[in-house]
Amino acid sequence: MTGPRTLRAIIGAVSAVTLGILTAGCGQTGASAAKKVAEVAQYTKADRTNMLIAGAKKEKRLVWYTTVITNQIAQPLANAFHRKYPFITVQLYRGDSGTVAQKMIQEYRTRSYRVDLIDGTSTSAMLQRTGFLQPFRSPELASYPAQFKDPSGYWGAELLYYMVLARNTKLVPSGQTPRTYQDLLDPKWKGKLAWSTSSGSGAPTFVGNILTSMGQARGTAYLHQLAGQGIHNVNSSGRSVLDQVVAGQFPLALQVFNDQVDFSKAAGAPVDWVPLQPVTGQVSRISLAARAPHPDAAMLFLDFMFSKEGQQIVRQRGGIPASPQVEALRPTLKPGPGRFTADYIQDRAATQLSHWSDVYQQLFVQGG
Amino acid sequence: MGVSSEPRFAPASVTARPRTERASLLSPRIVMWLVAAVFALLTVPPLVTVVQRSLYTTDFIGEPGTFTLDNYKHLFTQGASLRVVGNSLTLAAGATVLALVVGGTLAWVVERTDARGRGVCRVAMLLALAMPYVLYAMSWILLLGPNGPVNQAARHWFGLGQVVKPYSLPVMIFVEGLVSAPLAFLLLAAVLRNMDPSLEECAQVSGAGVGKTLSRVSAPLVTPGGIAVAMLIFVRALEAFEVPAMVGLPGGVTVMTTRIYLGTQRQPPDYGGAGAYAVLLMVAVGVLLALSARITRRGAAYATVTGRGFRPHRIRLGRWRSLATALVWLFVLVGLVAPIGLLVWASVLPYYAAPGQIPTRLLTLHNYHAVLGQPALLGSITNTLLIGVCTATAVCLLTAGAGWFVARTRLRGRWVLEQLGGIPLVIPGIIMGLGVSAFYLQVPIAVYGTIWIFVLAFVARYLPYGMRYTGSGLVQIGRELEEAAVMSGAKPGRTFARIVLPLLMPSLAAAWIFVFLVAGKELSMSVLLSSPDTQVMAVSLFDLFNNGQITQSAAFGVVWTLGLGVCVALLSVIARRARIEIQG
Repeated sequence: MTGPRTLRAIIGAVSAVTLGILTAGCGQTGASAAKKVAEVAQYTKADRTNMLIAGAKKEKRLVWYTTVITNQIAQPLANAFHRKYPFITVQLYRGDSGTVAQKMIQEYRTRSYRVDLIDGTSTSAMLQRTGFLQPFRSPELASYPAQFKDPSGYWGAELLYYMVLARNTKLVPSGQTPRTYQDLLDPKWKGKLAWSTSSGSGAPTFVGNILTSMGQARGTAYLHQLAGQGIHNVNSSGRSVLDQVVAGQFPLALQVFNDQVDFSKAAGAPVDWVPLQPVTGQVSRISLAARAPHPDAAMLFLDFMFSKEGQQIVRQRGGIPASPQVEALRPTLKPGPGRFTADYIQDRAATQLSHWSDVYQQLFVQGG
Repeated sequence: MGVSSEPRFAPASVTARPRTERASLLSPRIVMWLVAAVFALLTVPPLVTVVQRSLYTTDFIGEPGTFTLDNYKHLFTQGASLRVVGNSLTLAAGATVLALVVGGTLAWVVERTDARGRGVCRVAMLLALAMPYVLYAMSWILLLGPNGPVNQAARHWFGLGQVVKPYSLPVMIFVEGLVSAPLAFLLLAAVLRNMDPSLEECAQVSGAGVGKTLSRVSAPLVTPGGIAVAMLIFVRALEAFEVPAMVGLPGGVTVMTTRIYLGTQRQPPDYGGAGAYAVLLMVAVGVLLALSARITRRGAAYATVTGRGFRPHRIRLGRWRSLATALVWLFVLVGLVAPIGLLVWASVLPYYAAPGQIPTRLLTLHNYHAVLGQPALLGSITNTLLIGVCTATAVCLLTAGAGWFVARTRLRGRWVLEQLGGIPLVIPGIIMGLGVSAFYLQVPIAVYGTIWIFVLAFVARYLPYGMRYTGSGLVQIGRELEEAAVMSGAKPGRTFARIVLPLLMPSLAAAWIFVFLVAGKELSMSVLLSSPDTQVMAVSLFDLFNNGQITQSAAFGVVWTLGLGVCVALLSVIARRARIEIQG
């Protein structure tokens, strides 16, 4: 080993690596890629499906960042889609609304365009202003009511959620279960409640629901009282809060998904749900990425998702379909048959979610 | 210690052969500035980014918006921030006291008394030091949780309700104190070892009892060293992230580090607010470290090390001997056996329940199958190892060169290296994570979302450790060998490669092992640097646990502990072969 030569080699290598890193950041395809996505997304002529299939055969893949529980619904959907179009492989990444939105934003900021489709209850609200979404048109959305699709085409509804109170049936007998928001203030529930911190579906949306349904003044007073109950902030999805109720770590959980409770209940878990009125209604909305690398496959998937065929899979797996043509497997999961009223917070969430998060942090996270 | 005198002159090559060196692209001067440039690229951007972000608003995709002082205004006017800072100080103070009491008592027992189990205690402390904090925090939450053995026992035997609230400030103090105890032990043991025992002997000969000897002679002697140790532990507790995040956040107890974390988790991220807290925390850490350096310097006046050789004399405890031995075993039980035991227990459960609550026939190895069958978790293991190896190697290479320039040459501007290498001392992990991730999101270099961003952050954060190891290593190597090489015509590069590096190898190997182990268990930087595609073990475990997959995270923890055990054993064999001593 001769000193200078070795050093020279090392420095050469370091410079090469640095240059490599520097150049790897460049060379991204520019505006033409985005234009292609827009063309595919807005195409409405008769040969649309054939054109999409032809394009998708070349693309071969589809990347979907989803908030939908993987083993319950997302993977079965992906599998069914793959059976229909065997030449497309669906790649899933699962996270909460905030996580998937942040992942996409960070990738776009570093000019790495991997994602085709992204969904969540508040994801599109977070992303719409960024310019990272591409409005699309799908004929399958025609039958959907106005509140389940975006007028400018930024999103369409995949499925619906209703956020309820879950109880561990061994720890909280039916007779003792809280039935109203006021019941939650009973001192006996102090330290017994948990909720998810997820901004799109957890505690902040609970805050939003209370502030809307009770009004600013009464709602704030109520939340102050509720803060005294020492609710456990679980830094994870509603699904995992529910798992911890099943495991007996928490007797009660707020703002969990009623279809997931039924899914666990059907599997024999000691858990049940109670609607606290009004229930927070949520729409899981799916959007197309502005620089989707596989736009044809993505559009095929959107059509499939909104179609009766796709919605049937949501239904079979215990989810609540958004399509007016497909009823829920257990109709009681929905308002009306389920004897509860729901307040869909999506429109207000777009503008007020940040405020709700602030209120939540101030009241329920010490020193937020 | 073979400490050579301060260098008076540089090796001849550096000053006396200007002509040939100037011709070469690789003159020591140029190499030094190259190393300095690397140091600067590593340490300055994160620091500057954090300060910059604290002075700007953040737009909805997380880019800096317009200049503002609001972030600081909020920091100093909101009652909430007072509580956050108060929580941080309470946690740090409480944990420091507990760590000093536990670590100090045991250090005294092991170093200065004739209690039994002293060897056991040393090994236990080293093992506890290697345990990742994520694992430790997790097992303590399970031990003290609503469904855990402690509350179960209280319910079962005493008919009490939940006696311990697991997600609370007292439990945070307790767990943080316990995880800091091994460090307090090792540092205080060193202080005690360096103390002249003849003074204690004098006291005892003059008729003072154990108590009086301790309070009148030993205590004043170790005070300066003790204060320095206390401040170091206080700073580390201020910077701590694992315990506050896992124990504090679910119960709504926020400290400065977790407040910074929460800021980054919002959508859009609140880099401004997080940045303001970060600047405040860095100022606090900087002031404390400067103070402690001053105390240590002044402590030299107490001269605990004298020229006289001293024989290890141990205080005879008499009837207190069994109590001291019991204390050792109590620590082994509470600090090691209980948490690891519970981890193993939880890992074989179908669903989480305290011991005794579940029939043994239900015990299963399913969790291990589930964990080892998940490609993402296996990927996180490879990533962790790869990042650890790259980080440790880079730190060693960089600091070997830098240490040599600082200690051995008289090149102008070599102080720059020292200064740059010291910057990360005031950047706690969570802030390094914040700065590095924010910086590489802003500049179009494609390291974000790859494992290389970990290496960049880790190398920067651990440069000071490397500098400390190579610095103390170089001091022990006499200069004659290098001078002989230069006299025989070797150029500086060759001298460094053939003479200095081999001699420095033991220190470098120790540094490598230390950095590798620390990098492997670190969460505070990783949690902000990892992306869904680039997970490391600490973050995987943190997520698994947050997701409520308790039994699976326990299985993952056991696998990790076993792997760590194998690593530590292997490395210590290598270390013993090479006669290297690994110090904290």
